[in-house]
Amino acid sequence: MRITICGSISNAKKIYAIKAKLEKAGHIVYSHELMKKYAEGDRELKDRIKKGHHKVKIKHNTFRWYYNAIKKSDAILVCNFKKHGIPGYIGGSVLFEISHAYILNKKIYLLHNIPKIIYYQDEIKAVQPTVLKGNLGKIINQKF
Amino acid sequence: MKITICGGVKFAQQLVEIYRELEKLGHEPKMHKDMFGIADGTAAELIEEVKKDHAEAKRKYNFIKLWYQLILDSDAILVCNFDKNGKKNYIGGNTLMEIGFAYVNNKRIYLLNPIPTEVTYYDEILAVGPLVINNDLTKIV
Repeated sequence: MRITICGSISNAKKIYAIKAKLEKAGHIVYSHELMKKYAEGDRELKDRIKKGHHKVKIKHNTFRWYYNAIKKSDAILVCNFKKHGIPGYIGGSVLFEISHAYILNKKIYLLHNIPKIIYYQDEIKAVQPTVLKGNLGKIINQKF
Repeated sequence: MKITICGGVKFAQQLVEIYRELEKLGHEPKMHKDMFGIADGTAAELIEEVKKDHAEAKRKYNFIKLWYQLILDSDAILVCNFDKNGKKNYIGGNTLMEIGFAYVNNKRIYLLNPIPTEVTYYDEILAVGPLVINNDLTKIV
């Protein structure tokens, strides 16, 4: 199937490793080029993010890029690793991606449990994601 | 201008007041019909359901998709970000989703008050380039 892989760029290395696993299993995986650059240790990109993450999002049109990638996908996989001390952390950009997947009637997979974030825990529950509990097997063998 | 009014159900009464003000200013505001019932207390059953299990109520009544449709049919959204539970200019998850919908569909995004600084998604709100009107509805043009 076609999967847009989502997650915080600070976890780019882990996300990129998952992308490779999914591709090896025959899936088509969409991931923004910045994720690859970050995973490869692009120092200049890391500095730009540190100085002003919003500027990077604007310059690379990341919100619309993900929206368009999700449109042509069957599902999204949210790689919600622990961040800021919160297990299963999901940030604002990824919440956008979850909401786009939901209104476009795409399957929503969360790699880990729904995070306990008061701001949007209810919203994530409401879109009824499939929680993989760290086990990629469920989607690796999924055919569409 | 066609404007979808976004904000938490806790502020239903204020949202309805803003709806009326926008009408007076010649706009065509949009809001889910249930918000009026929540504001005047007539939607008692829904109010109870929201209190009991907000996530389930969102799902059962298909609120996320209904608001999405309103936004698609609008020129802009007005995010009514009042202070909530001690958080200044609060924007919750539902409204954040609506901001995302507006952005990718090229709708103008107005914020009633400045961008909240205490949230982890400050960068995302900043990145969509919202127009802060500081409670002055006449700035919506």
